[in-house]
Amino acid sequence: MIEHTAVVEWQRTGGESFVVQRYSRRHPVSFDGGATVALSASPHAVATPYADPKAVDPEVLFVTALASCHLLWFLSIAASDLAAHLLA
Amino acid sequence: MSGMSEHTAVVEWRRVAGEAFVDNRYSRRHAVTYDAGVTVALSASPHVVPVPYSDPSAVDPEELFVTSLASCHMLCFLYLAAKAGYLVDSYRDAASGILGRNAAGAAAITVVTLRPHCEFSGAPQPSPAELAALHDQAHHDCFLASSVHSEIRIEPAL
Repeated sequence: MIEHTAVVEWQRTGGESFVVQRYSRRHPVSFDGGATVALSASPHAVATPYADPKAVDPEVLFVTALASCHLLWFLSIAASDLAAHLLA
Repeated sequence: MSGMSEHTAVVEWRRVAGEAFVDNRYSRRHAVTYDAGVTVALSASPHVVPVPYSDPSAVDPEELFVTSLASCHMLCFLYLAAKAGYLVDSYRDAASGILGRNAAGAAAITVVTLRPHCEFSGAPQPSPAELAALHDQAHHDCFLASSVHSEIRIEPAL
């Protein structure tokens, strides 16, 4: 088993009307390799300026996880198929 | 949320000049670009592919998967907390996912554990039971949690 970790953080910024949903949805994620990415609710889901259109939304992260995993498997299978072809 | 929205990402990999590829010794580093212009370096995890063919400073797809669930849960939680009148000051989740084998024997992220810790100010503040109820509802509302087969455990840190 392999464990993969991520730390998601959000801080309320002063002067916002939190209880009436007027707060920034921007939140960073930090990975153990040192990368940090600015995240936010999508502007499709929450109006700007409370959503940040320049940040990455969780829906697109989910899509990226699947696209990246597929790409890595595809490359691995293509490399072994090429090896089998060259040995044949 | 009503209706449909489309969320796009462009993932790209290029073989590094001189790499044979067929020997499996090729860089797993690739990049994702989002429509807002953000680019993130990705790679297979060094737990899966040895360095230097993986890049430990890049983000792996398993981490992205965990992050999407942690981020979606947090956004749902903040919405519900605000609706209930609780003033949240901060939220931190050291989340993790286990890559293991599912019941069918396929490699899968079998368990994702969220460990949300929130700080509140003013009054009212939720009791531990009310906090747990907010997280239960956030989990129910989280559309990414509804999109996966992974078991999702929520272990609020008080």
